[in-house]
Amino acid sequence: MSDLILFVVVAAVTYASRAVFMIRPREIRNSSRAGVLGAFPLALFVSLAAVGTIAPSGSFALNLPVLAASLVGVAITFSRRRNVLVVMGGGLIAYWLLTWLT
Amino acid sequence: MDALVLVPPIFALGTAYGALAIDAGLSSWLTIVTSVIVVSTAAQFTAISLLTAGWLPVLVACTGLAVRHVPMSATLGAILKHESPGVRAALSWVLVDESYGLTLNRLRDGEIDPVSYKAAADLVLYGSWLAATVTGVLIGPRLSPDTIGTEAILPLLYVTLVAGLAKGQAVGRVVIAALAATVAAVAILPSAWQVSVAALCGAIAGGRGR
Repeated sequence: MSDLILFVVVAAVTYASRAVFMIRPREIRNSSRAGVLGAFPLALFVSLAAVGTIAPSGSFALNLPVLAASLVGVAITFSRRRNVLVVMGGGLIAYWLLTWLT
Repeated sequence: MDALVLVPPIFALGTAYGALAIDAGLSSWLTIVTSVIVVSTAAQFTAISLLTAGWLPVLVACTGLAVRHVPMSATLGAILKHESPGVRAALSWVLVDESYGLTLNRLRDGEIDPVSYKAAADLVLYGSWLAATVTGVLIGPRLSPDTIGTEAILPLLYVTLVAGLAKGQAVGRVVIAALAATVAAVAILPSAWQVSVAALCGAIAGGRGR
């Protein structure tokens, strides 16, 4: 399979997963299912942040600069400064500092 | 506009992608085409990482990554069900974690026109992604991802999105469930399935009874 065809298939799968319930919306009547659906975005971003921090390559790997960046990011958001750039800036400063030190 | 704050990290990631894709053996034009048609940071980075393993591992991995879009599609589809199918199909094109998170945050803050909001966010993100990919293709090997902190940018971005959605009841339960599920998934599952399965498990364990 050529690289172009491969990426066309990847694009088709990706778009299909995004469009499946956008084009044909389903009413979620079951309250338990609605609760799970409502919790999914938060669970997804927690998982993405955690994997990016503790296992970016798929297996556990302690990367101190990345861990420091994430912990600083979490600390800043707990301080109510939930602006993306403030979190990014604070986290990246921690990242560069630890990179320089280690 | 809210999405503008995401331009710097998106640009950094897109530039890194453009450079890495060239390094992985993709041509300049194909690298740009992938960003035009796939529009997924996770899938695109994963695909170029697995290219040497063959097409099947790439498809399996990207399908696993795509699974997480389905509940996002369901959530947003239910909110936008009164819009025309054409509008919903168009808004599906850039249904990425960032625009999805921004739109939900905005809706919770009382946004009355989610279609215009998401469409604007999509244009900003998509345009930034494409411009950054072109930049990465052009300046590629001269950039060092370690220097610009690419590996830290995505986790930080997701921490911010978590903070924006962490309102209401049972937040702690969802966060703890998702973290525990993630640790288990990393220990047990191939990397392509870790996030999707962990997020679903976390949502099921923490979301019931909300």
